[in-house]
Amino acid sequence: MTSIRVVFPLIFALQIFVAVGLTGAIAYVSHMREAQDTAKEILELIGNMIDDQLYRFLSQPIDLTQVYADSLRGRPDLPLDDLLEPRLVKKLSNGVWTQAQMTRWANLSIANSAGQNLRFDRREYGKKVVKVSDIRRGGGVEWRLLENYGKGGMPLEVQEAAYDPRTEAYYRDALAKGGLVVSPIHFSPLLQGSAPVVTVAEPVYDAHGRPRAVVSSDIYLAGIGRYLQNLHLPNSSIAFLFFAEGHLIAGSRGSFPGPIAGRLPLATASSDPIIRATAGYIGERYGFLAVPDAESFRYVRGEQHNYVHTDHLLTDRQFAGLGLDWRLAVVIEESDLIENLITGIHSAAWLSLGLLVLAVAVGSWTAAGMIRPILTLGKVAAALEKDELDARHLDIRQLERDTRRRNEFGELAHVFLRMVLEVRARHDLLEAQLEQLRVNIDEADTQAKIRQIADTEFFADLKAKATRIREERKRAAEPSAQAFAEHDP
Amino acid sequence: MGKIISVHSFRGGTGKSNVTANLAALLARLGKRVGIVDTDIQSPGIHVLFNLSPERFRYALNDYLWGKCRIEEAAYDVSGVLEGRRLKDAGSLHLIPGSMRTGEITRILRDGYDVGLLNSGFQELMERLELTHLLIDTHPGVNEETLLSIAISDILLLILRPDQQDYQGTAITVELARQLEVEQTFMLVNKAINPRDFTALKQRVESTYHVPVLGVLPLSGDVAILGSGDIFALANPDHPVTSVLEAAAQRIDAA
Ligand SMILES: Nc1ncnc2c1ncn2[C@@H]1O[C@H](COP(=O)(O)OP(=O)(O)OP(=O)(O)O)[C@@H](O)[C@H]1O
Ligand SMILES: [Mg+2]
Repeated sequence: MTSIRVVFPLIFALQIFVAVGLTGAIAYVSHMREAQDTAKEILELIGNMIDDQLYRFLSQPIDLTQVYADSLRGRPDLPLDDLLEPRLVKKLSNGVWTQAQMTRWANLSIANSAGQNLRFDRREYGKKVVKVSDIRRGGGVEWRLLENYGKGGMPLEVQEAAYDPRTEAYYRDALAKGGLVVSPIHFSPLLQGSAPVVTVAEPVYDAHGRPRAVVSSDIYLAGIGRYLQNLHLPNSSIAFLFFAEGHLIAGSRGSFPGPIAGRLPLATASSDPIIRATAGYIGERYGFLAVPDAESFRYVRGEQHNYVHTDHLLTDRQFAGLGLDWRLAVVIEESDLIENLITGIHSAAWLSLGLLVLAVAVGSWTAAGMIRPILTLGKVAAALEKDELDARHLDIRQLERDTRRRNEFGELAHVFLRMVLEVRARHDLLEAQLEQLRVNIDEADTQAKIRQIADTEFFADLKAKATRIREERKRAAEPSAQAFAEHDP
Repeated sequence: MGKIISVHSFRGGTGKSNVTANLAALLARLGKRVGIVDTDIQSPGIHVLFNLSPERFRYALNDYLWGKCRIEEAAYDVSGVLEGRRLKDAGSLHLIPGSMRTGEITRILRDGYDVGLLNSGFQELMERLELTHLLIDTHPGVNEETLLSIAISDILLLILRPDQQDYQGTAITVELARQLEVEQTFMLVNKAINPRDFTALKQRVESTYHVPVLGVLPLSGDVAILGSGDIFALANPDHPVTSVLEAAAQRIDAA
């Protein structure tokens, strides 16, 4: 038999345990979900912010190109057959600098079908520079300060390798399309150390539809990287841009290896472990080409859980239709995001545990208090059965105390006590009945006591006197009896 | 010549005073002239049953014994309790209370009664009042006063409760009465528990002591309620207890 003393508190404790545990678990799950939602929101926010900033970053060269091409169209009289003619260069430069005041990175190239190229730039020197080349004169690129152009003297720098703008992808694409294009990434020979760029280009035609020039502007990918690095992203989060084929464009963290054999490095080969892992995961999950729009997910790398948000960039406004296929991934470490949350959950868990212990203790105590009257009833009944019960019995005292409870237990104890007393009274009566029939006389004891009295002088004297008195009484009675007899006929 | 009847028990509280008063009343109702003497000087009490308060009696038994008064002066007619319930007109009841005065109680305890004096006193009382029966309510237990009463009695009525103590103690009294050559000893069992056993109980007691049992009275709530404030048999003429007492009274009368 399992005593209710054990079962009752156990059930009680179990119920409390389940209730508190369930509440705790639900709270934990909902906290985690909340954390995930929060992560998603933050990542989306960052993604949108980057998209927006990037848009501004890229729209400047586009605007510059378009506006400049328009201004050339507005001057059909301006002969562009010899782009390198100093007075023309002066004229052309005016418009560029007014357009390009706002940004230090601005650059603009004008190329004609003769293979001449005129580029306004200030990147390396801070000062206004022109970089000129003419394929008909060998194609080497000369760098000169704008203010000194046409005055002879030594160029600032000379690049021996021949540069023919007409062979560049942007040039051919622009003419092929007859409108604004963005080139694939390439390494511009017009920059020191040849950095990866994309080029925005737009052709300008004469009245007969012959191309007069192609206006273009380079966008330095390194600049995008610096921009990303300047963003104030949360600790341990990272953003990086990549192409559909998995080549890394830029990242907010880590050093970027230069192009390897004329190509951008793969994101999966990044020096940053998180970029590497995330890119690996994306490649495995979607294949780089198939990353869906605005997708958020969570993945595990070793011990670490990361939230990721991926998106296509620059898919709207003036970029639509330019064939840009840039993707963005923003990663945030779960531990970073929900560390506070987890400490909160942990302290809640400890609190729950403490409450649980307390609840179990109080529960057991209450349960014990509740079942005690039942146990007392049991003990009294057992004692009654074994005939060991008297008024001083401890359990019957307890039972008497229980009758004072103002609940069903009190009533039960009351009824039970009355029953016990009745049973006992009946039992006592039965005993007495048996006793009264048991006429048992200790003969030896009786004889001893009688002798004690009978042997006294008092008793002998009394006995003698009693005999005498009786005889006297008899004598006294006889005459009168005779007298009565005489009188009574 | 009237009969002296001592009512005695081994232990106190057995019902001596109640039985004495009831038997006396029932005998009086049968037309007898009955006297009651309370010799229980240590705790006299039978007067209560006759509604006689101590302030109303000037003299008690000892006053007469010590020559302070005439016997008639110590006897109080309590026939009033019969209240016309007499079956024969001649019946009457006379109570000679025990002393209520503490000084006299100690004197008796010290000097004791003289058996001759007690006897002649009782004889004179019976003659003067023309008593047919003189019932003596005694002090419980065996002591000199009790033995005196028993010695001068014609009949000894032993009241006992059916339990081991009384069975044992009563055996001594029965034997002493036999040695004192009391003519007739009777027993009456009081406060017996189960009425179904009464015949068996009576036989058991009779065969043990070789003494006739006048009746077995149950431990009755009714008797307890009346307590010592009234005479039960008169107040409850149809009660089964009353019929047992009536039978006992008739046996005593016939003895
Ligand atoms: N059959 C009976 N059933 C219940 N109660 C009884 C019975 N007989 C006597 N009593 C009660 O017992 C108590 C003692 O009775 P009583 O005074 O007659 O005894 P007693 O032998 O004269 O006592 P004591 O030795 O003190 O003089 C009284 O309260 C009386 O009412
Ligand atoms: Mg008495």
